[in-house]
Amino acid sequence: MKKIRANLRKNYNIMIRVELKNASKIFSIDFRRDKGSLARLLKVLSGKTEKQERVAVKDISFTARSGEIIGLVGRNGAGKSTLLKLIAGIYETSNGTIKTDGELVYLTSLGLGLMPKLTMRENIFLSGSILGLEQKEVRQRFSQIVDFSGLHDFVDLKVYQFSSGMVTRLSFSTTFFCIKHKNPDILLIDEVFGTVGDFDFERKASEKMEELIKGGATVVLASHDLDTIKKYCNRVIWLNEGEIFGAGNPQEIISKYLSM
Amino acid sequence: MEQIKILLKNIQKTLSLSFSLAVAQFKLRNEGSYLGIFWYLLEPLSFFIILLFLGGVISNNSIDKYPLYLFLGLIMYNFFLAVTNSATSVMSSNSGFIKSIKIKPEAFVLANAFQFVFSHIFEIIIFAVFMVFYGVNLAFLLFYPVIFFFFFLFILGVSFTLATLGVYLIDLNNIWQVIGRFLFFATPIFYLIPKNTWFFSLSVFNPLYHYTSISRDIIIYDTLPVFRGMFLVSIISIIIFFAGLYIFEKNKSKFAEKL
Repeated sequence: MKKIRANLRKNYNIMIRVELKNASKIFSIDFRRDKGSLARLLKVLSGKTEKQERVAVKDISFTARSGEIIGLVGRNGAGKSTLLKLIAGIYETSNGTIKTDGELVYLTSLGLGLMPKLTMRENIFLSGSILGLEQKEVRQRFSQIVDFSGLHDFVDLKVYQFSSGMVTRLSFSTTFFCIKHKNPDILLIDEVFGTVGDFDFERKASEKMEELIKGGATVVLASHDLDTIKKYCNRVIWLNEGEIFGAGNPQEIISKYLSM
Repeated sequence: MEQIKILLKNIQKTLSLSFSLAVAQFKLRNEGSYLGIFWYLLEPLSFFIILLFLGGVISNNSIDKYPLYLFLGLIMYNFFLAVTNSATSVMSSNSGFIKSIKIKPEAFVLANAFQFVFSHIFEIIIFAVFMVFYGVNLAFLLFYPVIFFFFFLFILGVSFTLATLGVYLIDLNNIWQVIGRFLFFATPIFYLIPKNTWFFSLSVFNPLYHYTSISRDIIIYDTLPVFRGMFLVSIISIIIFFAGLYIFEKNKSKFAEKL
């Protein structure tokens, strides 16, 4: 009976992929890492504990269904990244619940995991592992990654000798094909636009990003690029100082946000 | 049943990621240096020669096959120290990943331990050469992987605990170096503890003492240690492993915000 219901749900495509209920995140900011053990001990002994807390995200509830593309807009410091990291499971909620269903990929900055002293080939395999692929899966995608980046001649060159444009091409190419391979059900994109590549690569990369976003996964896209948001998203959430100030039709919400 | 399958799959994925990271880190350490891999061997070897000379000059009670005794103890201790020392700062070294990618942090602790296994294998090969030189039956070296397995579990348990503590305590590295120094002299690496002394009874609480003495008894001296003792040591290794892992698992969700 459960199986039949689950299948029905899948067929009707109304499956809930991401569900937040009153999710909050409070950071305690008396934790200063530059304190040595001695200083910390003295502080504890002296009895003074200045506990400061910062509410990054407060009482957020929304659901995202299969195939929806949700935009997340807000000022710097509004809590967009924190919210995405909460959904991704990188942070733990202080209150409330977050449930996700399916394979999740969180994309923030490209070029993470690149080790300059290793060759391009070694870096592709390493990044692939970090993104969750097995070695043989990376091997399957290897030639695609190299082709797209246009860096065939540099495969066995150490990355520290690459120009910044080459690094961008490598990062984007590796990240894109690895994510494509994983075929995630949920894709969280945290301001990954504005590459440093040249006009030609910029165009190729935008096409690929579009392919990724429209690929059928549930996408939550945080960006300052409002045109991109208007272009792709069917719903927009406006986050301000950790709370939802508005949610709904992209045009509406964006104009409200801009008029603030 | 499903849960167990998923757990095993996760463990396999974590292990394969750890291995890739370890290989990358190992390559990086050798990057550009001319001596490269040989530097791993030079360091323990030179220390060994110094201690050998000192041991010969200082101690009157000659230990049977002293060079073998010393070398085995030294490489085991060095492995323990290298892994645990870098475990204290493994999380902050990889803070970039932990804060921005959904990744299993266990992989970093494991990768950290694995990268030193590679160099340890080289050291064991040198030890095997020594054994041949001294005419000791090489066959006993086959027991080493079993001993090493439990030794490794113990070290992993300690690593997980240190890695967790290291997130909250940045000078844990300094503290641990002092503890390491103390352990070096407290463990009979370059000397022998005479039985029926207070020091001997205290050494029972030093895990390193047990691993080194069991290895030496089996491999060098061709004697089988008391079975009950070995059994206890293996059980305690497993307990320490799971205790460390438990501490790590309980705290790992807080790493991203504390780093």
